[in-house]
Order: sequence, then C-alpha cells, then structure tokens
Amino acid sequence: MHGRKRTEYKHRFADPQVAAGLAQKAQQWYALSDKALSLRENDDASMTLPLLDKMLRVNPDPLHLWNIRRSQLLLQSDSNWLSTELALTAAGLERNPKAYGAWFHRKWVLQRQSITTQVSTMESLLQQELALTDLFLQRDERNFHCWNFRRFLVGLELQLYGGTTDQDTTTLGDGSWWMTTTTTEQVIGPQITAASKTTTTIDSNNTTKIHSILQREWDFTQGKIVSNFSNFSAFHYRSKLLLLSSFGDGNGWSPKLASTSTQSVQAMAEQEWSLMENIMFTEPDDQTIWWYHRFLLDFVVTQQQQSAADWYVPWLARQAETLQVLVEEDDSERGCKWGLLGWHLVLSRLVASSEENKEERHQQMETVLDRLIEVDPDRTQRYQIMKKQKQQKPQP
Amino acid sequence: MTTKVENEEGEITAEIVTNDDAPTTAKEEEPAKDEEGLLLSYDVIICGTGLVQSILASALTRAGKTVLHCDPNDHYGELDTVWTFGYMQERQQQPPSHGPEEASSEEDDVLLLSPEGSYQTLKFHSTEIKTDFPVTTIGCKVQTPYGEGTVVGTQKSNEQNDGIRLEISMSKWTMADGTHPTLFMCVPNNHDEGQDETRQQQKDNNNKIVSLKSIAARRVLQQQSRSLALDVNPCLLYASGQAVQGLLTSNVAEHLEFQTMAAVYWLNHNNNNKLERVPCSKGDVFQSSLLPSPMDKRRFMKFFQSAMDYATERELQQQQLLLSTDSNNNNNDNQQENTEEGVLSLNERQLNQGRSLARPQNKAVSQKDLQTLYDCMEQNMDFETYLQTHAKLSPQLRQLIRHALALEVGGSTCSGNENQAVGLSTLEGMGRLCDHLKALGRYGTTAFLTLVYGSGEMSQFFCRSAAVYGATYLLRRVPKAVTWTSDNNNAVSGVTLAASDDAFMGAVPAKEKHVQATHVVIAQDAKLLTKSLPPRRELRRISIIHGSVVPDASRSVIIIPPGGILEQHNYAIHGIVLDESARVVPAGCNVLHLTTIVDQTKETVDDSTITAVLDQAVKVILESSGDDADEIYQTTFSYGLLDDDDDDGENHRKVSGLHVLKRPAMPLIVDEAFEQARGIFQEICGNEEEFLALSEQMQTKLKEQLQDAYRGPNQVEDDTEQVVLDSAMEMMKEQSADDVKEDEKKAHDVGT
Repeated sequence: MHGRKRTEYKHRFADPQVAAGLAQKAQQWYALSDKALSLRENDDASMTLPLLDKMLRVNPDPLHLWNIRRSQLLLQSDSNWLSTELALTAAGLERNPKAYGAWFHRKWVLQRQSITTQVSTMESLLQQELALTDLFLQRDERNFHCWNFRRFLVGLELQLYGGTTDQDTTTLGDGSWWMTTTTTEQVIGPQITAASKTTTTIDSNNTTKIHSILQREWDFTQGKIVSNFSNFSAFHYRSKLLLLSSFGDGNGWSPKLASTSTQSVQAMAEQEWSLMENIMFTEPDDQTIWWYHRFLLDFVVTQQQQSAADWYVPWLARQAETLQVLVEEDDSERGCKWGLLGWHLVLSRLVASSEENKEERHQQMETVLDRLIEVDPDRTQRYQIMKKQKQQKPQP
Repeated sequence: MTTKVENEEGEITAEIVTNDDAPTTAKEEEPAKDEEGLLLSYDVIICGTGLVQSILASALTRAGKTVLHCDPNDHYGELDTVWTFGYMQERQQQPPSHGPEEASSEEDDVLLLSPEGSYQTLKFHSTEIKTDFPVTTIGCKVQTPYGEGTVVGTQKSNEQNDGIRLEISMSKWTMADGTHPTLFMCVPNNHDEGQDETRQQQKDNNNKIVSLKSIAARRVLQQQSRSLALDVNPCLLYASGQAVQGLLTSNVAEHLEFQTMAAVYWLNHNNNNKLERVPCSKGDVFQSSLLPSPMDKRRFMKFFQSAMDYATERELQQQQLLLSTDSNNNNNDNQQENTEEGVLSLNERQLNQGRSLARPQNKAVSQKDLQTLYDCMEQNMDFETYLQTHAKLSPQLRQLIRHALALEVGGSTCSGNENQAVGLSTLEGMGRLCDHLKALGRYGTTAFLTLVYGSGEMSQFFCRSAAVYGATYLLRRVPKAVTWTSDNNNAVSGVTLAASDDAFMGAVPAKEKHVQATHVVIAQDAKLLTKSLPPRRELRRISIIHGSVVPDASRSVIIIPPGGILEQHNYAIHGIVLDESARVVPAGCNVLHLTTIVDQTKETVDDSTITAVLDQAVKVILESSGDDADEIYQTTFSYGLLDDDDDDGENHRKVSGLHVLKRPAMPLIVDEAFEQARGIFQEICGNEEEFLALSEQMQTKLKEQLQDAYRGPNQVEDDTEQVVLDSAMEMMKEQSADDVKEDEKKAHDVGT
C-alpha cells in the first residue's frame, strides 16, 4: 500500500462493480474460512491441503491457517513436501512480503529439512535460499523479516559445520534472544528449535568454513550500507556479527579489513569510525549511525581488556574533536541534536577512562547539555538528569 | 502521412483530413480545398518539423485547430532527428550550404525562409574512419591464416629489409603439454593497409595477419552499419518534469521506450583528468571521491537540502499561482489544503525522494538559509558569489554544482569580454538546479532518462500523433516565405509554398502557391540568412567507439567544465555515452556524443582549429577510461546559434500571429522544448485548453468517428485473486458433495 493515495484507493469502492466484486470475494472467503476451521485430523489430507494452499495464496496472513496446515502436514506419512511448501510460502510472500505466518512456515520447513537431509544437499538448498534473500533485500532493503530469515539461514549453515560459538547462533537466527533473569537464563521470542547453550569443539576444516561464512555476511552488510547508509537493519546485523567475533585469540573470527591485515580490535574500530565519520557528516540527522556509534563504543569497551589502552583514549579524543567540528558547523535554529548527543557520549567515556583534561571536558559536557536543552526543549528533564548523573562517578 | 498529390484535378489524396468517409467531415460543412487537397485556410501553419514544432503540432491538433505542417526535407525532425549511417554519409557529400545571400527583394510584408530549413547553417568539418589497427604491438590479438593468436614478440626481420618478424602465440591451438604453439611471420614495416581497399580485402581473406580490432571495426561499419542510429542532437529527459508530463498527457510515451542513464561523470582536471562520478544521492555523497573531506560532504549536503526545500516551496507557489489564475469556483478546499501543506510540514512529499538528497523526515527546514537565499535573489547576486559566500563551498564544488548539476554552459572564466556568456544569477541557477534535484531519486540512479533508438524518435512520434488528430503533413515542400497584410493590422496572412518538381513515389509537380493561415510558426534558424553568419556555432562530434568508454556504466553522461580541456575554451562540453542497450549501436560498441559551443570569429577559421577542442576531449576521455577502447569512426559538424539581436529588419517582430522559435544552446535536456511549445500553444489557444491533452471537442469527434470501438479509460484488470478463490470454492463444493455421498453410503451401509 506504500506510495498509493488513500483517497484513490478508497475511491475504487465507489464504483458499484468493484464493490460488488469485493463483497463477493469476502463472502467466498468467509465460506472457505468456516470450512478450514471445521477441518479435523481425520479429514482427507489430499483434499484439505490443496484447499489451504489456495486460501494461503490469496491471503498469507492468518496464522491459524498455517497452524492447521502444519498439523495436517505432520500427519502425512510421506514427508516429501519441501518443494510444495517452499513454493507456497514464496507465493504468499510475493503477495505480502511481511507476512509473519509465511516467514515462520518457511523457517519451520527448512529446520525440519535440516534434521533429515545430508549436509551437501542442505548446503545447496541454503545457498538457494540465501540468493533469494538477496533478491528480497534488493526489493526492500529494510524488510526485517527477511533480515531475520537471513540470520536464521546463516545459523543453519553454521550448524552444519558444528558452528556454535558461545551463544547458540541457530536460535538467535530466528529472532529470539537470551534473557538472564535473577536465577536462570532463558530464550525469549519466536523459537524454531529448543535452545541449547553448549560449546562444542570444531575441527579446523570446519573452522575455516565458518569464518568464510561470517566474512561473507560482513561483506554483505558492507554492500547494503554503501548503497544506503540509512539501513539500520544492516548495521544491526553487523553488530550481531561483531558479537560473534573474538579479537586477539587466533582461532576466533573477526572481520577482515580492507585497510589493514591485522585483525585487531583497534584496526576494526578505526575503520568503523572512518565510515561513521563520513556518514555523520553527510547526514547528521539520520539516527541510524548514531545508534551504531553507541553500540561500537560499548563493544570496544568490552573488548578493551585484551587490547592496549593507549590507543583507546586518543581514539576517543579524536572523535570528540571531529564531533565538535560537526556540531559547530551547524548554525541552524534546530542545531545538530544527534551530533551533540554523540559528542556528549564520547566526552563522558573520555572522562571515565582518562584523568587528562578532566575539568575541561566536564565543562564541555555541561555546555553540550545546555545547548541540547535549548535545541530540544521537549526533553529538558532528560538532559537535566544527565547533568546530575555527570556529578556522580560513572558506573564502571 | 506524407501528402502525395495524385493528379492535377484535385482528387482526394491520402491525407487524414480529406477522408470524406469520416462521419465528422460529412456532418460538418465541407471546408474548401484546393487542387492539392489542402484547405484554403488553416488555423496554424508550422514550418519545420523540429522537436518544438512537432510538440506544438500535436498539442494544437488535440485542441481542435487545423494544422498544416511542412518541412523542406524528406524526413521528420530537422536538427532533432536521428540519422542513419548511410544518410549521414550522403549528407556529408552534399555541397556545403551556401553562405549568406542578399535577399532578392526587400519587400515589407514578406519574410523569406531558407530552402533547407534549419539545416541551412549545418556544416561538416571532419570525418574519419579508422578500421586499420597495427599488429606490431605486443599483446595485440590478431587473426592469422591459421587461426586467432596473440602477438608476444616483435623483432626486426633479417630477410626483408623493412620487415618485422612477429612472434604469435596461437591461442586456439593447444599442445599436449598445455602450451600454445608459436607462429613466426613477417609483416612489412610500414603496415599501411589503406592503399588499395579491394585488394586489401582479398589479402585479408588469404594470408595476411590482421588485428582482431580491425576486423571488428570493419564489421561494425560495413555489415552492421544499419544498427547505427545517430542523433543529430542527443537529448535526455528529466525523470520528473515538463517532458515526462507532456509525454504522459499526450500518451506519446506509450509509443516510445525509455531507459535510465546509469551515471553522471565529471572530468576532474584537478585530478589528472580522471572521470569521477557526480554524487546523485546520499549514498553517492558519502562515498564520492569528488568530496574528499567530511566537511565538504557536510556543506554539500547542507546546500542541497536547503535547495530541495526551496524547490518544494517554489513548486507550492507555482501551484498556488495556477489555482489563483484558475477560475475561482469551488477550489477553496483545495487551496486550503495546499496552504497547510507548506514547506514547514515534515512529511516527505514523495516517498521516493527520501533516498536521493532530501532531508530526513525528522529534520526541520532551516528557515534562516531559505531567507538568505531569497535575499540573494532579491539583490540579483550571481550564482557563483552565492555559492561562495553563503553556501561556503570550495571552488571545485562550486564548479561541480554549476556545470554538472545546474548544467550551466557558459564560461566561468569570462572576463572583460562582454559578448561572452556571463554566469547565471542566483535565481536562474537555483531554478535550473531545482529542476535537476526534483528529478533525482525518481527512477534509477540519476535524474536522466534516455530514449531507446535515439532521442530523435520523439519529434517523429509527436508528428504522427498530430497526424492522427488531423494535421496535414507536407514533407519535401519548401515553405518559401511568410506573408502578412500590409495594412495597419500587420496580421499574418499565410505562407507561400514553393513549387515542387519532386517526383517522389509518383507525385506530380505542384505549383507555387499561397496558403492562408491565422498563425504561422517558424524556427528562427530557418529564416533565410541575409546579413552574416551567426556569432556562435554549436559544435557536435559523433564518435563510434569500439570497446566501452566508461568502464562500469553502459549509459552515462559526461560533463566537462569550461577550461577543462583547453584553457581558452569557455564553454562546457556535454557528453552522452550510449551502448547497445539503447539500440543505437551494434553490440560491443559505444557511441560518444559530444556537444559544445565555439565562437565564430570574424576571419574564416579552418576546420582543424574549430574541431581541436573536441579532438582533445575524445582523447582525454578515452585515456581516462583506461579500457581498451578505440575510436573507429568520428564526424564533427556544427550549425549556427542565432542570438536575439542579429535579426534583420525587425519588421516581422510586430506582426501578430507570427511565432518565432529560438533554438536553445546545448539543449542536453528536452524539457526546455516542451516549455517553449507550451508558451506558443498558450499564445495561440489561450489558457483554456490543457497543453497536449485531448480537448472535449476532439473527444466527441473521436467518439463519433469510432462509435462502438471507442472505449473509456476504465478497463477491468486481470484479477488473479478472484480466479484462485473461485477454484477454491469449486474444490470445496466438490468435497462437500463427496462427503454427502460418503454419508449416504454410510447410511446405506448401516441400513443394510
């Protein structure tokens, strides 16, 4: 419905012929829905499955229809329904690329397939599916269903080679996440498989494969970012990939960098900053890059123990300088809100990790917050609290 | 559509308006016709079939005017046409058009027209065919009598005094050990192949070593020359603008095919004459090598976002203006809506603009910047100064914006010479920039669309659509002069058509005669030149390149700023590169169109001086492309650009009903042609009729003529949804029928 005027769309219903046609369709749909709901386990699957097939092709959204379909499929004696289900979900997704039910069904089918199929067959199947997500993301680069599906596929792929890192990537691939409550850890969200948090040892042959898969995904996000840097899905994926990386030890994966051959966290952080800098200066009012900036600062801190701290402070200091230039360039009434917030964040990190120029930096943070209150009066209270927090010692 | 006279007695000819069977003409009073089948009097006579005239003819006939459209040439389009390779060669052999001549009679009530129309100042300067490439360079791929190979070594031969011994690796032959055999052959040192064409050909087939490049070049220019479609004036359309609107309103777009231009390149003379991509979207900006520092990016983006806001505001103002000039009946709601939706509203007006250069939704309009812009316009500041002082852009960026985005032609280095083009004012510059920006992000990666089969197709299709609605076409007939009444009114009385002794397809000679008209449209450059040659000439070069000019884009625009090639050349050079996807060259080739302006100095200049700038441009472009591209054919020609002030007599200026079209200099974008046509259309028809839309009068006429065959615009589209639902219903019915049977059977079983 994007890009279509509501008035034009509504106007169609004024035509009695169109309205009658739509009413007839609705009648038919109700009749079919009633029929589908009355289906029982002992009904003849050779009749019910094609019926559900037709209904889901017309409307891929109703989850209960997909559920009925799955329970019917499970009763089937021969389980060779991969191709028909893939075709059906493809048709459904063509109609509505954001149909939750269709995406979930596709994942379910592939997951079941991966249990029973040989590695080599599964490999080629997954390659096809990945190529499909490529096409989908060309159509709509911000379809988060498709991004999630891609992560699910990569999870399956890693599973083929026994690839589980410290977190189970397969489960995380379907959009679920780990949550730590006070006593236990549990998986939240739509799960395809039961979660398992085990660490297995992988032989070196598979390790190279896993690394090349992750690198391929990193390059994929690079391509998407270059074509539209406002694509938060790509940055989000990148942050997930970074979480799988382990800098420093020789066995873990970390993104290969164009600028340098060393795969240290410093080199990665330098490269990401130069990308971010260019994007921030092109469009400082695009929130995407600021979220990623925030993530990267946090990420680098977690990795910092392994790396020398003597680059960290200068790295932050350079950021602070650049952001100051960016903020001062903007002389409009609304100011550069996100630049100010980013600058403030960098300054607070600097203050936390270095004693050098501490007073001056505190002073700068104060002015930044004052300016923020000026340009963004709606959030005055928030900035006031940030001012107060600054007085206390930041949490380690 | 061409009128052909069949006999002297005035039998019906094959034109549309004289079709007596049509119910329209039968019902109305029969208009008076002469022995050629032409009406005695027309509403409008249009001389010349250039693009503007063609658009105008189509618009006028749609509005119900009777139109006679004549052209001295045998094809549509004049300088806006597409030449075939054969036609162009024929044209080159024609003697150059005669220079200015004294008008035979200085009558007060006559304006003489050139017998060649707008072609009168056309002149070819140079033509080169290069189909022979040397074989004596290492790495050169060659055809030998024993198959294809690659030259891997050369050395002076001992056997022949002036021969060279080539060492050729035969790539089509592979030995058992995987290597290619080597062939040693001698070729004469001065590998001059052009001495005797026919003997050469025979030799090729026998035992000569020929470069594969030569073979490919000959194939293109000989066997495949029919696939060459060479635009005299290649044009592009803005993806959103007057041209697209006109093509859609008139439905002419349905007959044409369009393609996007994939990239705009800038020849950066600050960076070793490298071709660099002009940023056309945010993604381009953040990667662009033309904007090296982050601060450049910031200022560039900032300037563009305020330019976008200005564009939106300007558009809204224009809409307001239209609404207010419109009849004030019940438009209040509309007006209300428009004022509310000011530039301050944060909604992206068009979703597709979001990805080009526009500000994001959450960003406020900088009123301050807009106010500064308006102040500068008020002060009549020139564009360059505005960009420098207020947008704070570096000299390189200023040049980029003026020439690659505002498509400014005139020189930036003009100093002291008043005759030369002065830089644009802020108002003009921003206007041109906005036209470009509005078209960005609409379709494809740039703002431009090109026509498949050449942009000259457009004039032809507008002529055809005019003919469909009743215009009469007379090609190969020279409109000799425009006449007007010599009384005080000074109103146009008509056009004198020259006698025609043309024997085309059995046509009988026609006498010289006068046809009356209320309005006459002529092109300024078709007026018979009497004084001197025009002060400036548009210089064009068509190059056929074997290989690709730009490595990663098949269809692209190249902009060379003034002074970018030759220091003293004060005009920009526009280049258009097209490949076989635009159906203008055979596969494996590119056509490179270059356009610029040269000043016509008083003394006669020889051809090589005139063509020097474009010779150099081609060389630089091919060098920077880095690819193995060779120019196999080129032709350079030019035609005069008339200025407003070099009009003779001035007397026809005061004549009412005479409309003179001025060809704009270097019209890279056709939108200007539509603007011009609309202007004249409104002069003739007033503001009542919509430009290029079918008038009600014409619609009723069509309905009468076509009767049952006429269908309204509402047609039922295919409904796949309905089909699937129907089949599902069918299935359900069958199923329930089966169930019933089964139940009956069960009941029966129980019963028994």
